[in-house]
Amino acid sequence: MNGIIWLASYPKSGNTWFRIFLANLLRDCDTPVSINELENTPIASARILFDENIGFESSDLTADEIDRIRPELYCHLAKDSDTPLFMKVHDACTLTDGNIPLFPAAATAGAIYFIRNPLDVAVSFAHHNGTGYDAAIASMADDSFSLCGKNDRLYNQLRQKLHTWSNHVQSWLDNAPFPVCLLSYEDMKTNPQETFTRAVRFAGLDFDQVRIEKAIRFSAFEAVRQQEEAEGFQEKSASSKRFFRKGVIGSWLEELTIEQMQQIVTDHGPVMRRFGYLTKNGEIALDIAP
Amino acid sequence: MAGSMITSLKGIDYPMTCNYRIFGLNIASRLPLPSPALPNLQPDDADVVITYGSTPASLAAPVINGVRYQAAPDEFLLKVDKVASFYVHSGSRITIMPENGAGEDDILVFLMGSAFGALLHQRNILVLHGSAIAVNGQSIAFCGPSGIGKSTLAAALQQRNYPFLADDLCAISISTGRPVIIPGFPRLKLWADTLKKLDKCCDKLKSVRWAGELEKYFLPVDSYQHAPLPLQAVFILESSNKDTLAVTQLPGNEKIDPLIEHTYRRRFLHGLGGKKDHFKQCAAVAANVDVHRVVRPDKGFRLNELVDLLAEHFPL
Repeated sequence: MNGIIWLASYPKSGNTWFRIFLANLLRDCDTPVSINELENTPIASARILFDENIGFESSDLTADEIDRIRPELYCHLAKDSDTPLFMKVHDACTLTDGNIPLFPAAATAGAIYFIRNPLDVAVSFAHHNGTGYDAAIASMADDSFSLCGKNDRLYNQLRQKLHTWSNHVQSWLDNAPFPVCLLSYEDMKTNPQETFTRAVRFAGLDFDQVRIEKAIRFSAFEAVRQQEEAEGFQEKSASSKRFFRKGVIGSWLEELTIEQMQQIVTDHGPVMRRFGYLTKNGEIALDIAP
Repeated sequence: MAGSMITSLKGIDYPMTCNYRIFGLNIASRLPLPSPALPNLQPDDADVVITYGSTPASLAAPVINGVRYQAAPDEFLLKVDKVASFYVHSGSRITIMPENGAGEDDILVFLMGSAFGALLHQRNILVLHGSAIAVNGQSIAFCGPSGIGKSTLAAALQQRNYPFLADDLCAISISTGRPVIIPGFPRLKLWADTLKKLDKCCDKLKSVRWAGELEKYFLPVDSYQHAPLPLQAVFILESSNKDTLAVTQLPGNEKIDPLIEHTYRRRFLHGLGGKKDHFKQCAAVAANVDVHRVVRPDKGFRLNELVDLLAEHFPL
C-alpha cells in the first residue's frame, strides 16, 4: 500500500494508544517500546514537518496560507517515502479555503478513524486541557473550535480545525476522498484482538496473530500507565497531571452531571445514535459501559 | 566565494538602489532593507546585488526539490505563493520576481529569511537557526526549533542592555580560525503575546506581513553592534512538559550534532552542495565554543528566571 495512512481522531479517542500498539507491532521487540519513541507516527500538523519541506517558514504565514500548502506537503512526503507512512492527525477532514481537500487522495493510502463515546471524550478532554467538564463540552459543540488557533503566538503545531465533535466524525467517515477504516475505542477495549487485526489488515500489513497479540499486550493501558509513571510521557499536555489517566469506558457515569450528559446528547444526538452511543429511542446506551 | 566575483554592476541602473552593510557584506539592493543605508558605499563595491527581474521557472538541474524550493550547486529558487519568486545564485545575487499585488513588506520577510539563508550558505558562511547577543566583547547564540523562544530571549537580554547581534539567521564565519558571529538585520520578529510579556506596545510596530491577520511584528533594535564578535557559547533551547528549568553543558563529543541539527534550512545545503563543508564548520565551532542544553517548561516561559540562569553561564 503506497501513500500515507492517516491515524485520525478527535483528541482523547484512542489515537495514541493505537500508535503505541503500532510502534510495538512494527518493531517486534521482546520488551515494550518506550512510549517516548513514537516518531514512526508523527503528527501531520507538526510545524517542523512543514518548515523542513516547504522552503520558507510557516511562522511567517497565516493559518489559512499554511492550509493552502499542506495538501502539497503531504503529496511531497508520500512521494518521497518507500514504506507506508503513518501520520497522526486531529484536524477534521476538511477543504482548504481554495476548496482543495486538506488531506488529498493523491497522498493517501487510507485512514483509520478512531471514534469514542463523546461522553467519555468530554471527561478525558477536560482532564487533558486542565479545564472543567463544561468547557470541554462547549469546545466539542463549537464549530469554530481549533487546536493551536490563536494568531498572536507561535505553537509547535500548525492550526488544526476540529469543528464540532459530530462534524469531525462525519468529515472523516462521510467526506474523506479515500477508504476509511473505523475503529471504536470501545471495541479496542472489549475486543482488542479482532479490532486491532482489522486495522492491521486495512493498513496492508500481514503480521500474524501472535505478533499482534504481543503488541496489544505491550500497549495495554496498565503497561503504558506504568511507563508514564516511571519516565514521563513527552506528549502529555503541560496542563494535565498525566496522559494515561484512567483508560476506561463509561467514566462519564460517575463524573458528569445529568445536565452535562443531556447537553452532550443535545449537541451530538444524531451522530451518537448512528454509532450506537444512543439507543433507538435516543437514550444513552448503557450496555457499552462495563 | 569572494565579493570580487562581481566584476561590474554598471549595467544596472536602478536609480533607487541603496547600499547596506549586513552580515559583513556590502549589499546593493533595489528593495529597501531594514538597516541603515550607507551613502558612501559605491555600487561597484557590492558583494551582493538584490534586484527585481525575471526568475527561472525552475532550475535546469536541481539536486533537491522541496515543495516550494529547488537547490543546485550555487543556485537556489524559492517560490512564495502570492508574494514572489526569489532566485539566489553564486552567493552574490538575489533576483526577485514579485507576484501581482504583493507588497514590499511581504517580500522582505521571505528575502530576509530563506533567500538570505541560501545566499549565506552559498558563500560558505555557517548559518545557525538562532538569535545572538553580545556579552563583554564576545557573542552568545541561542538555537532551537521555531517557537522555542530564541527571539524572545534575545529581546529580553537586549532589554537588559546586552547588545543585539542577530535574530533568526545567526551567521558564523570561521575564516579566521576562531568562530565569530557576523551581525545580521538589526531587528527582531516578535509575536504579540511576547511583546506583551516584554511590556512593549505593538501599536506603532510594523507587521511582518503586509497582508494577512498575523499578529507578529518587527521590533527595531537600538543597540546595534556592527563588528563581528568571537563566539563564546551556543545555548540549545528545548522544552519539556516537566516543570523544570535546567542548563547543562554538553561534553565535547555531543556538541556537533545539535549544531548540525540547528543549522538554518539545513536541507538547502544538501542541494547547494555544501554538506561536507557544513560538517567541517560545525566541527570547528564545536572545537572552539561551549555548547549548553537549556530545558524550559512547555507551559510558562519563566523568562526572567531563565535569563538569570543563563547569565550565570555568560563570559565575564
